[in-house]
Amino acid sequence: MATLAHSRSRHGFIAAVALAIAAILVAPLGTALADSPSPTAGSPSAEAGGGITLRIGTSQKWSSLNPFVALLGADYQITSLNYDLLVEIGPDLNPAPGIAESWTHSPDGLTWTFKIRQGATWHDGQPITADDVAFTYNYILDSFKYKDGSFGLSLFRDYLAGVTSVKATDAQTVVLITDKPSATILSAGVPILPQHVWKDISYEAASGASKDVKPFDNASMIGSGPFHLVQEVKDQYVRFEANKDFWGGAPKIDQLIVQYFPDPGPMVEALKNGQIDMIDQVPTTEFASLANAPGITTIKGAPVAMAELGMNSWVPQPGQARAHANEGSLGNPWLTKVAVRQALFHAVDKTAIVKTALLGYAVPGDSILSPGSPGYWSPSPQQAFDFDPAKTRSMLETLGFQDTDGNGILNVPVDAKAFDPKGAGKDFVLRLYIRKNQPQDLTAGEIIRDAFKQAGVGIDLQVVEESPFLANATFPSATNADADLYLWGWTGAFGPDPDFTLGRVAETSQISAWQDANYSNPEYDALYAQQHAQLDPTQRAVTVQKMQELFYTEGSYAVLWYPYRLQAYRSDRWQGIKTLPADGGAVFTSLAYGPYDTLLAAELKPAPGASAGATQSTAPTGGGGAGTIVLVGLLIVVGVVAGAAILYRRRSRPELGD
Amino acid sequence: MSRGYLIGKLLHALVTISAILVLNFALFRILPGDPVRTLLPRGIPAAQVAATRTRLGLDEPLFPNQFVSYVSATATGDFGYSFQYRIPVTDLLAQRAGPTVLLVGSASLLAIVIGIFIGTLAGARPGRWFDNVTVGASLVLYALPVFWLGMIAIMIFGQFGFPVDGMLTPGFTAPDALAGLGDIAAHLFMPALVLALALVGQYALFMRTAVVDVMAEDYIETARAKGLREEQVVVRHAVPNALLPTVTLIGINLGVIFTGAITLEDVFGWPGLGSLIVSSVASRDYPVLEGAFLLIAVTVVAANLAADLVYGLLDPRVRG
Amino acid sequence: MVGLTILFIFVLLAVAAPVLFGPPPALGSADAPLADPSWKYPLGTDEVARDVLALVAYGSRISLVVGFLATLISVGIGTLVGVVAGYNGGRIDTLLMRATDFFLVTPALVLAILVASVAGPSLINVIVIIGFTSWPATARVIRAQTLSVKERAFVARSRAYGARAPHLIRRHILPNVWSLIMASSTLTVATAIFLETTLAFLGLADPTATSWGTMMNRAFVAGAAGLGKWGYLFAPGVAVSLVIVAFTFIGRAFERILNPRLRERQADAVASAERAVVVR
Repeated sequence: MATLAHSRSRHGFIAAVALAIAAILVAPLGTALADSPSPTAGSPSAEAGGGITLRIGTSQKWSSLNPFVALLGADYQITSLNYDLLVEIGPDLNPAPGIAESWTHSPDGLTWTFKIRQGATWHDGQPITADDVAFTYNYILDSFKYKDGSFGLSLFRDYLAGVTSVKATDAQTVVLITDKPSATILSAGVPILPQHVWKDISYEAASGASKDVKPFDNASMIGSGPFHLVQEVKDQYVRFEANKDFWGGAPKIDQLIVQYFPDPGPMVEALKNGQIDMIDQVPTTEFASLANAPGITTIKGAPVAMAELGMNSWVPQPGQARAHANEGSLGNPWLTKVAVRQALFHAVDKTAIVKTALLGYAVPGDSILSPGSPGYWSPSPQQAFDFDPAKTRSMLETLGFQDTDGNGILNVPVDAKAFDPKGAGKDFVLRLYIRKNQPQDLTAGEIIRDAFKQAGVGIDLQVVEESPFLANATFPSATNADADLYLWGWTGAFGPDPDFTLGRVAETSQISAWQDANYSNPEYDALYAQQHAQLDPTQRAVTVQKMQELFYTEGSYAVLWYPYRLQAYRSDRWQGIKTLPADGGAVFTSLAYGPYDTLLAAELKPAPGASAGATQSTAPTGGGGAGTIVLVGLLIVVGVVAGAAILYRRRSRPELGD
Repeated sequence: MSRGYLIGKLLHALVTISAILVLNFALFRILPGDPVRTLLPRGIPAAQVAATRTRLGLDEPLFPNQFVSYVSATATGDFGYSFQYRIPVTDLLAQRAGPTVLLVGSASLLAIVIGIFIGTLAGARPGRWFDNVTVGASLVLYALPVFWLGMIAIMIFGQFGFPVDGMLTPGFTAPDALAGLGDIAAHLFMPALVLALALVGQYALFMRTAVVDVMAEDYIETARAKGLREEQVVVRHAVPNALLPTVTLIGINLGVIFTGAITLEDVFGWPGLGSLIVSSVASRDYPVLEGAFLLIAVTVVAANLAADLVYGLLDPRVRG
Repeated sequence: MVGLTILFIFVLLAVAAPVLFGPPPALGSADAPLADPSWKYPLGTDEVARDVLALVAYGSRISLVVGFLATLISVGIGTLVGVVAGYNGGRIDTLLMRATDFFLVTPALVLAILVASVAGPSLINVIVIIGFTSWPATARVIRAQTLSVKERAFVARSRAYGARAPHLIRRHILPNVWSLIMASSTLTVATAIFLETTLAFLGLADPTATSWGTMMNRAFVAGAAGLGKWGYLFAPGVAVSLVIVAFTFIGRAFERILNPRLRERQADAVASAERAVVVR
């Protein structure tokens, strides 16, 4: 009897342990399911399971779905999939038909007539008309007439500079009139929006600039592009469904998922083990190894972007005066001086940065335009700021900086109390913000810090989140713009026309809109206006080059490098993926709108010897296979525990005589 | 449990929570920089900023005005708006708490059950090879940084197709509940296992010590003398008594478990409170940090209180 | 003994790093980034072409310095609070012990993250933060010991003769709690190193100072795991674990020497649970 009782209690113990372990992994799942984000309501195919899905991993977070607020590269990638432009960008980077089938302009260049495509529809099935186009352009133009213009939709303002009227003369015709010729009418990167969605959205909501009105989140994302964003899980992923009625032809895939990875390491692992199909930004450390991996194709796209060491040069203009003693540009005042910036330019070792931080996957930078841009300019050897920290030091010493305390760091002149009340007499130390999601920026920052130290300038390196921290630190509203130095970059992703970069980066009216360094120079602004009105490409190129030269020598950027666009995808499973431009370009680029989308023709490779049923395998399977492994693993754990118990019992029995 | 013991413990918890409130208030009010900046989106006209300052009462003295409104706002669950996400912090915390509870809960349960089991086996026969291995392995496991273990787990298990990021497969809509559970289980597997591994040593060591102590008691000898087999002695007499301090450890340990979860969630992109804290640090999202700290601290205090009460219920000396 | 040996090796490595490996490895100083282990680079190189072994050696400096200095602060506060509370008793004791309990239950890492995010990442901040968040366990142990020493006959006699508090504390209390302070310190060092590593991994320490935590972070971000760079990935983790194990061993040895009757059953078990928790 005793033995029976004993064994029951023994087994009871083991069983309890096994049950408990099983319960542990299963019981809480129910709770989690209830908490998990549910797909957007009203997308019937969400229940259908999705079909053929292409999954892209990215290491940049998107900031907003509202195109009037969204200004990061990742935002534009989303916009380009979901929306169309009036005139889009063809495979050779020249203007190509978009919502407008064709266009003409009057001999004086002041009147443009666009023929709108017939039969094209919005994602909700409504027809696209000339009214929608006129509405979109007027919505932006009128926003600056609303109240004091403080809710102006400034991100798109410059595309429409000089436009005085936009009218739909009939259902298929839009007439646009400018007060002077404009070189950028055909490269306007303005997503065409459905009037029936946006007509009720106030400017307070659309601009997101009001404290009292909730910013418009644009969750429905009704556009006309080949993909329709149907689900957003903030900081995790966005899901697009293919627009099977797309006017430029239906995509061959059914779903597109863009998944955010906080760290690139796991992202590469996910590509290797097939959880994602493509990586947008391959870390330089992994590119060579991925290039050799079987079944993976890498893409080294020509540089269309630049990375800069920015210097906050903001001097509040009349009318932008500080509202509060603690507000306004809180950056180091010395950076507003051209001579100081020029001195610092000499302390930037671009060659070392490209070699060490980018492992050679970039071209050392100079102009704010990337080398492929029309009218690209580069400095002559006399003009170039060669790397020479000693020169930086001597230039700063000329300005009165002295290492008075002998610690190797120059001190701000004591007599500069009026100009720099906080810093006078102290060490000249600048904060350098670098982005958390960009490992190469940290290395570049360290190289800059070490060289600046040689030059006698202290650097306080701070790693921050790009959005919203860096965005706000560089943004001179009444409360922000307290950056000193920062590393950031611009993608020429918004079109090959140099107007975008030249204007957004450095033109005075872009302060409080696109600008980050808050540079202001009337001479530059005049040149900008001049090139904008030059329809002759040769004349315009001359002006464009002058602007680059001016900004290189007196501006607020040390342009560090032009990165190659490093991408990778599973070519063992996918075909039909294109690049833009067709030659030497990149995939999943925000240049590619509408029918020029790089993923429009992407399709699964027919598996050798497999039937069509195999295609189903790329629908997200939800780690079902791994789930099975989990259950098996669970059994193993239970088995091991039980085994250990039995072993213990066996071993103990002989010694435990009663 | 005497009424005095209960009231004392409750009072103690209340005092602690008040102190956390004060600390939280002080920490985020003596910040350099302007809190208005963290609360407003970019591009706000100066007049509105001034209005916001007034509305938030930032021009009033820190104490008592600001403190009183802070406490009353907190009491009503109002932690303000997240700077990153522009939604109420309360909503954000509610969204993120579920995944963390899931991760922490499953890992702790796993660690506790296995730890108690192994600890019992080791403690019942101290000095044997199993005991030595248990003690050694526990100490080493104990010393391993959990995020580092996580990285290695990614390296090993990632090859077998285990998801390395997130809690759900993006865009995956489960055909049935089981597939949905399987998806979460697959994502949960690695982080939960790693966290459990990091915690199991502690429970095992602790249970072992407790069992060793109990086995030296007179009543164990009495039980043996009654003719019970060694297994019966261990299971019926030693384990229940040794469980007591271990139960207490669970409560005390909750803060530690959260700590492990923070780095681990970061490594695995697990959408819980930990990864929220990490991204809020980089974004200087102070309202979220403030709310998250309060939530975690109060949870830990509550867990400690619960542990004390359980201890009071079980321990005859306290029950009094 | 094992603990002391491991510790000795790491202290030697930290002190002799310049002799063994030259100046701190500069960016791009090795032949190639992410090289596999070789005779020249026994643990390979990192993604910005630095010798991993040299980095581990220099990293031990930060870990040990942070560990020791933070412990100094922590033990200083803990001893002060413990002795004052234990010696005075009464209201002061209640108040100080409430404060101790408060810090004991407040999750140290979360608090450290908050303070670090407010104060900014720097070595000094990390040391101070860790020092100020890890003292409660020491305070408790010291208070308990002070209470028992206070009641001993010779102390009571001194008090009866009118000896003043500072004198009593210096002459009688401190010498008797000294060994306990040492034991408590070894465990605190382990805690401190662990916290430093974690903060550094999260980017809350100076991201450009070479510590084991930042190395692990960089290895993770550079994808060392996926590339199979075992040397780079394992070195900092193993180093941290070894040092922590070493301090734990030393701490346990201390305890065994000081307190042979450690196994005193439940009440004591709870106290040792708290001590165990401190290590993380």
